Amino acid sequence: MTKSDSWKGLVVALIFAAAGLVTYIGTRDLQERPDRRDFELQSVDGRKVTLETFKGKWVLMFFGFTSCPDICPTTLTNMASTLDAMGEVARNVQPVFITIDPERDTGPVLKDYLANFGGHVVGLTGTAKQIAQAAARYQTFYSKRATDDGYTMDHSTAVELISPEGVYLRAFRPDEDPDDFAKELLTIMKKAPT
Amino acid sequence: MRGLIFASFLLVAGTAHAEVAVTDAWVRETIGAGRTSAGYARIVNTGPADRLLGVGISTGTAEVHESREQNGMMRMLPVKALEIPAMGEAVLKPGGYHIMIMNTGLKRGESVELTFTFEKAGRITVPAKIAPITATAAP
Repeated sequence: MTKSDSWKGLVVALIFAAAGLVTYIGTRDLQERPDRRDFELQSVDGRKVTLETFKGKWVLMFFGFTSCPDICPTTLTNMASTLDAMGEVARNVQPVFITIDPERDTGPVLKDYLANFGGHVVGLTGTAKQIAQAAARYQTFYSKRATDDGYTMDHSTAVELISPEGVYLRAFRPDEDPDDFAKELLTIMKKAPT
Repeated sequence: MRGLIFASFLLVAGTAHAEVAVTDAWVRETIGAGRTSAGYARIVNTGPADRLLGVGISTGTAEVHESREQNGMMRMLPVKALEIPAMGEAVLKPGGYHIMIMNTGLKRGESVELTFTFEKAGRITVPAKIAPITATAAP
């Protein structure tokens, strides 16, 4: 072995050691800092609700508004069909609908509206600031737009999944086929440590 | 003979509207004091290309809209004219083109009339069933 060869060997060893360290720090970071996205909102009967409230349940979260004619009822119906397709396990899943239009969607309005979608969707509202904070944490955008007869809301429509430990996992498209959606959720739930 | 050919031409021209048909029209119920909803239908064209210029409703007001994703947000934008391809169809369905209905309450089980106005085929009025809010297709 020449002198230059041993230098090369040392460099290679150092690179491997550095890569290992980066991987180690990366994993440790993931384990120690799970993606928890806290929020504080209100239930339809005015009680305080936070991320902690849903501990122990898988949460499917969707931001919308009740005077939304097309996307919101379609998404809520899809979510209900997805839960039906999941069977028994659906008991561990809590669908949550957060209004981005607290001005019109009061507690009673939300409650009446959501009762139509399988009866177990939790409706949440809050002050404009509380809703804006929750939405921002779940990469949801919305804005009010004037129309001839008042206003409507433009909004992001992703369905967000949160683990029973309160960790944000991923977003799904609102128009995902219920059977496919159910399969994907079941796969994720099976992999999760119990 | 020439007269006969001319007459049959007129007949064809006169029945041109029959080349566009609106089927499976339905609207969603409103909940509580809600005054906004959406309607859907299938437009089948067995003739040359046409355009849907607007939709009217027997109660409240209606506009053709499209749910479209822009900058990460779903927006509902008015559609000035919806192309109906020759020998083809246009489908108004949840998550895409739809009839935005405003200023009216709609009760499940009842029905309303929708009037579609086409550039060439003129006006076509069809009944539309009021389906439950959870409906995603014609009842």
